[in-house]
Amino acid sequence: MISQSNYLWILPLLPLLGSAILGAIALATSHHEKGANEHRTGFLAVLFPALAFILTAFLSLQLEIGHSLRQVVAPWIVADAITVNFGFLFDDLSRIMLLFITGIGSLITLYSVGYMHGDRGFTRFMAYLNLFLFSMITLVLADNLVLTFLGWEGVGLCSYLLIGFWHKEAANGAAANKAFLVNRAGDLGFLLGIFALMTLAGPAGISYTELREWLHNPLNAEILAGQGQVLVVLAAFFLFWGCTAKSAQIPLLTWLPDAMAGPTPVSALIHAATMVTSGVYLVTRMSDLFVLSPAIMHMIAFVGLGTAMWAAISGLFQDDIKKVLAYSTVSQLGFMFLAAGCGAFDAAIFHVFTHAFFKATLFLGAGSVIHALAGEQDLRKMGGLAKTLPRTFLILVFGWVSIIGIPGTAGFWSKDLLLERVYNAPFMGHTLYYAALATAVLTAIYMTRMMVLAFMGKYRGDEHVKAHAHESPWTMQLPMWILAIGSLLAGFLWAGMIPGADLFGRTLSSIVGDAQRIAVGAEHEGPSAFVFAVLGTAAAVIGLLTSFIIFTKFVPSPVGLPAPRGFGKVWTFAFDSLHALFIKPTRALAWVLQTIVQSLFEALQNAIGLFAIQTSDLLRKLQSGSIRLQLGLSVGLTLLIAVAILGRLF
Amino acid sequence: MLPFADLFPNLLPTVIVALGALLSLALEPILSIANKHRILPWVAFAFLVGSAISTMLIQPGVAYNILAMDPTRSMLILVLLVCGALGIAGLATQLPRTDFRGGEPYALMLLSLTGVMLMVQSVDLLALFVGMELSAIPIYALVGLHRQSTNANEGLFKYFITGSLFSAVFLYGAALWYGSTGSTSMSAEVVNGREALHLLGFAFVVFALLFKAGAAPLHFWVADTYTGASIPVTGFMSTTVKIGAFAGLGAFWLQVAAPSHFLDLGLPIQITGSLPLLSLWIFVAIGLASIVVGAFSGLGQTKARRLMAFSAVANAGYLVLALLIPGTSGASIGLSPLWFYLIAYALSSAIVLAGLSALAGTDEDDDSLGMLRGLGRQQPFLSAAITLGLISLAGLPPAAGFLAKFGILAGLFSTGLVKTAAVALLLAVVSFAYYFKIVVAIWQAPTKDIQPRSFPPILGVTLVIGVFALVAISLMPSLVGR
Amino acid sequence: MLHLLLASPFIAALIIALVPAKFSRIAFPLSLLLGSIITILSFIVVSNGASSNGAPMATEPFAWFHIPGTAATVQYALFSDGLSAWMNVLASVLTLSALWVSFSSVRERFAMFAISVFLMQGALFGCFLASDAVLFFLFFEALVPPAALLIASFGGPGRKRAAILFAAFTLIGSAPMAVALWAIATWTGTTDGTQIAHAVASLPFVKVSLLFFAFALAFAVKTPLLPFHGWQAETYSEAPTGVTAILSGAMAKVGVFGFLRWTIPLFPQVALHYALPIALLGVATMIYGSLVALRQHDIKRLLAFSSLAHLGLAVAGCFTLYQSAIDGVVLMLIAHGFSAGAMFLLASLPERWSKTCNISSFGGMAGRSPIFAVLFLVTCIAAVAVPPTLGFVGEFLILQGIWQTMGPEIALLAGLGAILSAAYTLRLVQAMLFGKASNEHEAAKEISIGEMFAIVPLIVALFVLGVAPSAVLRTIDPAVGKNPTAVATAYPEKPSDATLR
Repeated sequence: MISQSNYLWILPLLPLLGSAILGAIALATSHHEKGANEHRTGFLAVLFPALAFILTAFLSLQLEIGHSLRQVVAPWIVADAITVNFGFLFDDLSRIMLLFITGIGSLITLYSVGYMHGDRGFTRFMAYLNLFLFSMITLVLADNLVLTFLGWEGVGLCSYLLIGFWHKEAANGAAANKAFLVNRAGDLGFLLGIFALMTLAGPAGISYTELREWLHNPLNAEILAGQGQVLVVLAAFFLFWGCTAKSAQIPLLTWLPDAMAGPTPVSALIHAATMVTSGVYLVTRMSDLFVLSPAIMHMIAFVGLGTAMWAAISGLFQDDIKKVLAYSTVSQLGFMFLAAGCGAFDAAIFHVFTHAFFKATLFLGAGSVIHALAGEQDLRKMGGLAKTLPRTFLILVFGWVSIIGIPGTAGFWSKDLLLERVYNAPFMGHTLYYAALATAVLTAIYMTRMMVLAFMGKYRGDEHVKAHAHESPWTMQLPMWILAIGSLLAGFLWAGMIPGADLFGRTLSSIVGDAQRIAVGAEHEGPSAFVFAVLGTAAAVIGLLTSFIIFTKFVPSPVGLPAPRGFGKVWTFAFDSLHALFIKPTRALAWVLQTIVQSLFEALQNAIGLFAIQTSDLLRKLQSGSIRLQLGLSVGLTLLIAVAILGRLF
Repeated sequence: MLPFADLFPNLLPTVIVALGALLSLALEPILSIANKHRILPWVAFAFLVGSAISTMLIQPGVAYNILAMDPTRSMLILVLLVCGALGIAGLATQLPRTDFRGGEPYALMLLSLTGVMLMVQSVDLLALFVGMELSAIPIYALVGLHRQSTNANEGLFKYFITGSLFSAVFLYGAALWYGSTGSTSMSAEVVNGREALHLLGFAFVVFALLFKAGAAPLHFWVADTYTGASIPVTGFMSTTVKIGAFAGLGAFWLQVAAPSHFLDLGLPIQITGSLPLLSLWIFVAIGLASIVVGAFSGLGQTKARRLMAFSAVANAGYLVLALLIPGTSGASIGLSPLWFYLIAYALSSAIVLAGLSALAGTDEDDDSLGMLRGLGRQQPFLSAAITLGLISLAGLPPAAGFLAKFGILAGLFSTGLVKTAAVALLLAVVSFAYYFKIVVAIWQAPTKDIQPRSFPPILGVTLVIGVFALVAISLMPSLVGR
Repeated sequence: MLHLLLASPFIAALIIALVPAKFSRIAFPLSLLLGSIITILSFIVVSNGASSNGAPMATEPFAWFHIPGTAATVQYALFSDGLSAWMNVLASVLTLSALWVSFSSVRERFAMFAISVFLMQGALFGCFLASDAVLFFLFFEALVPPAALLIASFGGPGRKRAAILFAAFTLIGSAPMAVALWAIATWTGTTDGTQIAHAVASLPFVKVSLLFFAFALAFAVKTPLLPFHGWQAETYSEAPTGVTAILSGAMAKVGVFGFLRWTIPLFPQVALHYALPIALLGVATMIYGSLVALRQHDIKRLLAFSSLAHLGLAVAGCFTLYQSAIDGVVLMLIAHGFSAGAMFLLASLPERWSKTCNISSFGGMAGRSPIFAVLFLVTCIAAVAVPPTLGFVGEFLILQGIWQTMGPEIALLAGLGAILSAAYTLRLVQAMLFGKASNEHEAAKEISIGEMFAIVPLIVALFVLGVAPSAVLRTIDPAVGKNPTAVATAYPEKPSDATLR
């Protein structure tokens, strides 16, 4: 094992190296008319993520389930009692995450080579992507919370850079700022969570493995029962707060729809497949902590469910194809947190995994549509594209059946498992289950709506755009096909009803096993898996049909902006106005401080200055010209002083 | 040790300067007008140097119980000589510009210097009086050099009137002193039953000296006279006369505190004499008054000379306060901080005004801040010297003024005059504002092109000496006193 | 060695002064050379500390000046531990960069500029090295004249007022400290930094706390802390930007340094007694600075308030009296020194290009001056303490200390500052780099190679030290932990008891 554990540090370094090289190239060519040669830079851009993927695969094959590699490269922060290391932990959880991060990461980088073709910032874009992969790998590979936090803020930064990639548009910049600030708000929660753990478990509080041991150590039982109780709750609460921002959960979900301002590959990679799921990763990683405070677990479940429904409803009102997908992402993330909150961490991660495939597929497909229609994103200006873009259509169909959960597809297996676990959850399981099922119907509805509006019926956009509509180059096709296949088949890694097909579950059990036992308790006999499967399928089909019937009839007219209209607006962006409740007072306070307090200080200064001037004028008046007066004053004042003092003494 | 030094012990430096005065007077008629300002300054300078050398050579001691010499006094005299040299150099710069035809001013300055040196050395009220008059009368002449200028005449007139009045006050005080002690020696003991007279005499003498020092409320002449006189003269009188006055005051104060025949001005002494208690409060009042007046009146001024005048008043205040500082132990007085401050002040002020006399042009208000603008880049060395002097006057490090002020106020604090010290410190910050105004004006980017200001080598030499001295005591304060 | 280090800036100033006017064009290269030499010296001192695991260096005390009326004698004695050493590095590096970048804006009056800057640097060294309270005070005051002169003769339109304001604030602020020094000299008969602590321990608590606040006030004005920040914005915006870089990067640090080296170790009990209120004041300063920064339109004023915010947090960190937090403070000082320095220097470029500091008149620079834009962006990222920059490590340790000693609520409050700092920094980035290129400056300008040489090292340092903060911590830890004038004496017996009040 030692031999392999020495490779770990290379993993994050590969994309970092890539981004460094690409960044250097970008800077060097920043003043040329046209940027560097796209073939070479494109090759470099894909090379490093691919290498990272290969290395990950190699390591995963070497390492059998239940084992883990750990490597402490060097100390980072060593101050008094605190010690933070550059340490990496390659265990069953991080291996799964890494596999699909690096895999899908490489694919999407390849895709964007085609997508960003001819853009002046091509090289810069690739540099950002590599930097993002570095941060993401660090996030999941770190063996302690602080290093994870490094990745955590790193991905936030990269998403900021990539959302605002086309910086000429002020709007993009605004969206980027929003994303960064909301994430900053979450990061604060993360930090405070770390502090709580440090207070609770001391130095052991930072490192995952040691914290795990600490929590399971019977010696600490009475601390946990006693004054540690509040700290556990605090830690769990703050960490989850961090997750709500990163994974766009209520109440910090508003940034994700806006984040669609970035190029589509970015939306696919960062805002669908990887970054936004890191919240789920963290909850799973810290499952041993979370299960200790049921209150927070319930909170997570309800927040998850709430988000899922809310986003699903909002998704119904979107006419921008990327916005639809964005809200569906939020909704799916809600499902994952629902599962996590019900103690089904492995199911949550499995859904993360499958979701990565089908959502990436959908986004890339959408990207290819947009690419074909020269940047058109408004569903109302599409339609009938099935004939024009058959391959893209097929790809999107794969993603679509998967997300709505047609039996056999990846989405089916994961969602089915997830829902079943929710049903069996000890706390209000049934209620949650039915709500979630309803949400699944909604999912089917808005996804089908998207498909119908885009590909059925007849074309509604302007014609010569359609004339130029074309299938995308192989660099874009290849990744899409791979992902599409994945979104069909990935589910068989853990197909509940097929005996033996539970590789995924077995892999994760070493990480979340204990936690889930604590959370769920003994396996009690529920309805058979078959029932859930039927119900789930039913939900999908119902949704599909309703939506198909409605939206083939009522086609929205292609006027106005693709932003939601009427009450849809209110529904969708309610949380923006919620944020405003915090932002407005801050602004007001700033105004008060600047215009009132600050000027008070200045007034005070000027008053003092004025006083000095006045005194000097007074004294200068005393300095009269006339000699008699001077003499008189001299003698008089002298006597005055003498008398005054004599009077004072006697 | 010079062989003939004991013929007229420790009077040698003064005599040399006097000789210098006489010689330059004698030379003046036979020199062509062109040469007067070229040769006479060097002659005077040579005598000053000679006097300085003799000062370093002669032994401490007291002659006929009238004139004393001790390390502190010799240090003061050396500083006097430097200030005198700077004054001479200033004259040598200014007079040719105003094409002043006579060469007497140099002689007058030396004569006045002689008087101040007598003041520094005297331990007897009469000797002190002689010194005072001898220093004052030539200065009257110097102030009035430019007969046609109204400012000069006003300054001269006021200085003359008030000066003669307070000379009378001094004489009267001395008479009372004599009446109450039977001697004009400062160290004389009071005769029983005449304490009132004694006190009165003491007060009169002190006030007369405070007048010379230009402390408020006896300061009214200062502003007008300093403004009236030409810059080098202002520099000369603002430094030398102050040194003389405070040397006399200090000596008198010490002698009254502990009557004895010979004292080193620098050493702390136990108070044995009948030191009138209320003088403490008088000094506090006068000191603070001077500082307030000096600090605030200076703020609005625009002419460098007038600024320096009020700075002189303010500094007189600090010096007065310094009279109250105890030596190491409780019931004692140690004036070494006073001397250090006096020396730091004199050097800085002399440097500043000598420098200004070179920077300022010919006509009356060429030392107004507007006219000084931008000279820094044309005369970097002069300006640097001036800046150093001003920083020292403002009591900011690294110049000696900082330690001097810090020392005095720390001493005051240790006597328990906490509030006084604190107030004095704050007012120092106020006065910083106007010193800073001059500095800024000098270093500004010039608005108009200024005609080049040239200055004779002697000014360069003396300035270098002065700056060297100032830097030396800044780095090694122990050079002065303990 | 220390003598040499302290003397070097003054020597440098002298050398520049002696350059005759007709060779004035060599003044610039010469000053760069001298500046680099000084920088090397300061690094030697640091490396010395590192090699000896932060064992402090000290010189033979030399009786310099007897304070009248007291038994105290001012010693000329220098003392350098990791803290001082790194502060010196900060001062020297920033001076060098400032000289380099400012040349093109002061040009013909460069000699005087360089002289004053060197004098300021010398005073800074003195502050960081002095081991006698009065000696420290001397250098503390000696900072004012050159700084004020620089502001008044090279600054913007309101320069005279700004200079006077700056001088008045700092001098009046330090006046109580002078009184306190007299008191110490009178009551204890010593002003030696290593002895005062023991000497004043016997005094009644009221007296000691008076001394404490007298010291604290001087540093609170210099840092500055909340009610005493009146001079800052105006001074920073009026001063020539190179000087502002030194003011905010190095001189403001003297304030926090004073808290660390003098106020807390000299009066530990008082510090302990008033720790919470002062720390809260620090946090308040942070919030206040960030909020006001949100509304600034002049880039230099914005940066001024941002350093108000940062240093507020630093002071809060000092008064956690918690070892790791204080290590964090030191890291943060260095981080902010470099980042603020780089920020101001970078800001000076568009200011020179388009003759304005108004944010709204820039824009779209990412397209027009990409390299400048990247540097600016990276500096901003470092300024908002994104890991792995040094700023993050500092903030992390400080916030953790605040949580430990003052509880979650305060930590949360202080954390809000982090969000706000991101807010105003992003607003700055947005306005300057992104959006449509404003037509206010036509020809696209780009940062020159020389300027990059001056600025990039600062930025690189932020990342290198951020990844390897142990390079600093190894030299700091003993510095604030072990030496006689150390903060260690001020710690509560068991910090862990203070958790979760």
